[in-house]
Amino acid sequence: MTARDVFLVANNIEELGGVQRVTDNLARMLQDAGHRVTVVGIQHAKVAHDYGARPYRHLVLNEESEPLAPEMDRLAARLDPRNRAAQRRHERAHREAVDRLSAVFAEARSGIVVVMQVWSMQWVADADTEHLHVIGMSHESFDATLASTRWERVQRYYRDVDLMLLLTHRDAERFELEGFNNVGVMHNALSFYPERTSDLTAPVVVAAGRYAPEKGYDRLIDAFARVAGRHPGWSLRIFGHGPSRGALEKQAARLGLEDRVTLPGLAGDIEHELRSASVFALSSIHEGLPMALAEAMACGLPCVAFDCAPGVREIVTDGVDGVVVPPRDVAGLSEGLDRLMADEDLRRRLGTAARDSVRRFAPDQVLAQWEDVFALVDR
Amino acid sequence: MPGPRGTDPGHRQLPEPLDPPQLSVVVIGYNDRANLPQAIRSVLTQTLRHLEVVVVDDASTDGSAEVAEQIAAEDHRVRVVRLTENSGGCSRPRNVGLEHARAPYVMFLDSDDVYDRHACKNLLLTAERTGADLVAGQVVRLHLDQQKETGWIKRLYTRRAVYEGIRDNPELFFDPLSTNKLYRRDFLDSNHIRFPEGVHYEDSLFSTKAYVHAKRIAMVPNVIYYWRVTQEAEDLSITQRRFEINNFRDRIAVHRMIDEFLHEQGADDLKVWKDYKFVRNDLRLYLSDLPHRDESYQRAMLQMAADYLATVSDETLALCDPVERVCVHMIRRLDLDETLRTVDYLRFGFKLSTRLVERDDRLYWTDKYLDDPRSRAVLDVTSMGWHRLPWDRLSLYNSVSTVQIDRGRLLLAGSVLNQLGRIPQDADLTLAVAVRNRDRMERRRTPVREWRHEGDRITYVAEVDLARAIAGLDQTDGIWDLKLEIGWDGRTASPPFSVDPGLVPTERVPIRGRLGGLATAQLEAFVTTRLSLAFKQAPDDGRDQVVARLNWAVLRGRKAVQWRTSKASTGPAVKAQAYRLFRRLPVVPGLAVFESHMGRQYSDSPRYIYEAAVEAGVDRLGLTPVWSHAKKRPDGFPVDARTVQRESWRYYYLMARAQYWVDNQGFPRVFTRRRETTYIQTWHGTPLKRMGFDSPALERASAATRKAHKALMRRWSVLLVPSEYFVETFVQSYRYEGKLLRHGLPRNDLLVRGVDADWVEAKKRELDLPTDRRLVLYCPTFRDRARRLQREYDLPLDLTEMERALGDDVHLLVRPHYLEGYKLPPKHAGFATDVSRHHDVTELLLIADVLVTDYSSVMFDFANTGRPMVFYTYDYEDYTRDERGTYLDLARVAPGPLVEDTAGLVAALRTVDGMREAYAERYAAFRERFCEYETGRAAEHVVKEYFERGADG
Repeated sequence: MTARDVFLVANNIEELGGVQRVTDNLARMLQDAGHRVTVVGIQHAKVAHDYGARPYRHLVLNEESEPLAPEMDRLAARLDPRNRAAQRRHERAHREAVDRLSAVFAEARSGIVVVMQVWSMQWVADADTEHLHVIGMSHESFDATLASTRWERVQRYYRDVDLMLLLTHRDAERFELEGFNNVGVMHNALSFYPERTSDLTAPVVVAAGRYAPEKGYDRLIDAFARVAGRHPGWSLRIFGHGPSRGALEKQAARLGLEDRVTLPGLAGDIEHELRSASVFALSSIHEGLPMALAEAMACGLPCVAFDCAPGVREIVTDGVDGVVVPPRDVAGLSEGLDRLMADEDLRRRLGTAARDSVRRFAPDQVLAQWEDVFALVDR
Repeated sequence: MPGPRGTDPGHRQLPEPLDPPQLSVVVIGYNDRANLPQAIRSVLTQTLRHLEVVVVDDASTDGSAEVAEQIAAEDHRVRVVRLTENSGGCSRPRNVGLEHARAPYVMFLDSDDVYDRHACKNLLLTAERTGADLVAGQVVRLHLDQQKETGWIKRLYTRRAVYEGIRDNPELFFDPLSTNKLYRRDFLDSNHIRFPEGVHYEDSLFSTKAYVHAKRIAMVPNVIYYWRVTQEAEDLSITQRRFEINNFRDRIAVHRMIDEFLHEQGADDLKVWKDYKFVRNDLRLYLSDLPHRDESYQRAMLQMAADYLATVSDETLALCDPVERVCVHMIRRLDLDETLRTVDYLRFGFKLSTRLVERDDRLYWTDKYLDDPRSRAVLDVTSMGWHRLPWDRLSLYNSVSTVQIDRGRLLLAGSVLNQLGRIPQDADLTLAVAVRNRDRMERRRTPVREWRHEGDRITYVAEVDLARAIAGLDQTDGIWDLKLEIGWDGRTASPPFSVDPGLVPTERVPIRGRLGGLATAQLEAFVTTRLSLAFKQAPDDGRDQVVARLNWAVLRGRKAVQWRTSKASTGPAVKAQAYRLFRRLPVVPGLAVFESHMGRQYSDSPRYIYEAAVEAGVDRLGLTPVWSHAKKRPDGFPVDARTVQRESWRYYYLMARAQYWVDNQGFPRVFTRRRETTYIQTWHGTPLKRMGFDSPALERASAATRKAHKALMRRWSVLLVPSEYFVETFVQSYRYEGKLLRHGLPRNDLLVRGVDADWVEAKKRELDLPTDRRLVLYCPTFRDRARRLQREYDLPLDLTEMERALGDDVHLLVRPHYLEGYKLPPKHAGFATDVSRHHDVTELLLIADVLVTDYSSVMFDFANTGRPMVFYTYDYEDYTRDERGTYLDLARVAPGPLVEDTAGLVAALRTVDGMREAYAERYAAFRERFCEYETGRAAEHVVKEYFERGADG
């Protein structure tokens, strides 16, 4: 293996978010493997999360937020001298930031830049990267990008990079059909591949994620309510944190299930909590590549999941290593829960297959995928 | 600051030499010093870096070789080979390059083309992963003068694919290029595949050999290179095409070489496909040159084509279109005039310059050769359906015999073919010459005073003050087209003026600028690619150009100022204020404003409620209905109805004082409902796609936006509902908490009750539809991704295939969503009709025998009829699983089969009668669920509940 200089660039590297955790995870993995990793955040986050001691080099490009470019659509706005001054300030600040970034990149003779988020690409595209390979990563589905303001930026910057990595094969195909000739697939790595698995006997259905509408926990609670009567000993535990907690607890109470449906907050040891359950549920409305699902499967749990994004089917196959139901179909979700709750053999069959299936997301496997990618851009 | 990524190899660090390189690219050039460096650079900046470039210079005399050597000195991956004698073609340089190539894979590039940055890597990786002998990718044509890009046989490259030999995909013969492909070196060597030297069009022979020998062929959708096309190459000027007949001879010679090769290989079956390409592409191309030539030349080419066509089999002709077959037939008969007429149709805008003839209920291309049964079969063009078209939809051939220009006045003399004698001798015709700027809609008409009906044609002499007509039009750069407008019996046909290029005068037409006298533009006549007469700005000296531009700039500025001031005094904000004042006035009892699709249509439930009210007697009810229309004129609205233009002052006034509001989408937000007004919301369809607060847009919206949305819903006094499913989906997702009327939808009343046969016949006649065939209505839904992806809307149906299979007993009605902006190609006019501009889809549902849809809510309406439905869900995965998602699992509930391509659709339509039984149960369940509350009397019910009883605040 050739040791390389690797730069990971993200909008910020401090807040508690999906991409930030993936970046931290990836940096540690590559550093451990012997590469020289530098993680760059374009700016500071409003609220910083403690990622512990970081074994890799990391820095923030803009100590203060860059002054924003003023709105200059209308002629009047363009003629206003205050706007023009603001524009000049913005451009100067941007140039200085880009120069700082080029200086960081220049410390390596050769190497790779992985841009983790679309917004960050504006700085990388303007910096001097001729001696480096540039990889652009997208952490959302094709449809999510298409529906957002990021679409224009992706069109502008991502066709020319050496490689564009998507989370799923389906998304890569969609981009390719839109004329992107440089697509590839890269999975996120599980932060852990556990040694022990659940024994699948505890009467617990578990879910984990933000307490917010996009995770669809209201539907999960409804679905559980429909089958709770048939499975008296079973309970539903939803770990996470977020603004909807109160509403969800009220919903459980209205359904008379406040004893059986709990929202214990963040799990101290998620691995332990997963192993203490027998079924995992994913009721999300939107997802990229839902690693929580892969983590549960790694613990040997059979899952019921809404087919809400290509990422779900990138991880699980209905009938083989889990149960996949149409998105938002509460009846389908409850049916799936019912089947798994009733049949221990089924749980075992799917759970064993699930653990094998997500081996490819294990850290060593994903590291091997990255080494392949590094070799590919070197060709 | 560095330029776009990958354009400056000089700055980059070169990879260490890898021995041997992974790919060899052979770049050939002859006296193309201007473009050669760019071509080479496009290889050196590839994401695949471990390649070598072998530049083969074909003994250039302009310094190309020296330029290449300079590049080689800076990049060790480049080597230059100089031929001592010019070979006159591409073959020898490529073969020499191949000899020098060291890598296990090879590609070829011409000096005037450039690669996409990822081309080499994509092809190489695919070759490695699939083990293919050759890998092919897409080509994009760059039209430098018009600054646009077009595809090239895009249909072959829509997805990744792997074929175990050419027989798996013989359409590959349509791609004879060698420059968009990667070849395995061993494969070329062991099969002795090289470019034939001393021959033109060497690519097709090389490619055929490669295709036939290849055991595995891979194709990728990625763009490989950009094929630069300049205007010169496309010019129809005679001098440029001087050697056309030699080119044709060469091309046929190569075809014969290919035939020999195929025969040697025992691959005569492939000749069928190779010939198909010859007839469809090559022959057409060369024949389009014929109108410019003298007779001896024409006859020589005809003979050459006929000689070769003697080797073309019936199987090939069976693959071709009807008129292509007629063309081949006429060439074989050495009938020059008839051949030229088929060329008019095939090459020049589907012009019917032939005299069609009807005999024994069949339609024939011409009355010649009909006594021979084989000829009869070929000349039978009944399936094209032209004889069923109304006269104005027949492509009337208008040919000009004299064109003169005299001081800005244009004189035209010509005749229009009275195809199939459709226009009777005593017809009360109006003729006019219309001039139109190509980018705009506005036209200037000059009546034609001298014309005569001579039975089989109408002759005319027209005089147009062209200078004045054009000066009166809005000007933008460009082209002005001329059409002959023939009006009769309430219809108009507008054929262009077909003209022989030799007749076009060279005098110019001076046009004054709009500001009068300041500048003069000069226009000149020319012949378009469709051999029609048009005018364009003559290339001028700079001074006039500058002044002309100034004119237009000032004109535009003036218009812009006008627009701004008008907005200020009549803008929506002012009207909103006025609305609030008007609301203080008392409500007018019985005043009802009706609107459908924001004024765009007279249709849907509001229409049927209105008609029920009219039938019950508006005077008796004390009702004053007014219809809102979006355009300036209320076209399509009943002549005796009161109307108001949407967003006009009167509209605001009426809305403020109306007792009833009836619509199907939502009146503008500015209208807050007053207590005395009853707002009857009929909505416009049962949802399949997530909407309202379930849709991503609103889901992610701020609380304020959601609140505003709910406020809009709260305006409704009552919502009409066709089924409980509608309540579960629409009502829930919009969080509507108001009153519901579970009585069905007024627009479905007729679908439930049925209409009598006379009504159906009359409607078919009104729409110019045949009454003797099954009407299949294709009604796809809107795909909201299409907008952002900026693709031109193309009907996802192969109409040619459908026509071929079903043309005898089916007539297709196509109704893409009105936002798609679709145009039906004229050649299908006999088989299909575009009904997207017909206001009321219910009328179409009433006359359709079969409905083909995908996810449109028309399926729920049509189910009321009990007639068969087919679901053409070619993008089922994408549509149902995308961001918005669906409420229903269509595959599970559909009351008809789901098909995913044209072949499947054809098969389903063929067995539609047997389908009824097979789907009877599903259909019944479907109706029960989605037409639950339909009574067939919904409109009457609304009238009774609301208009009879008066205000229901």
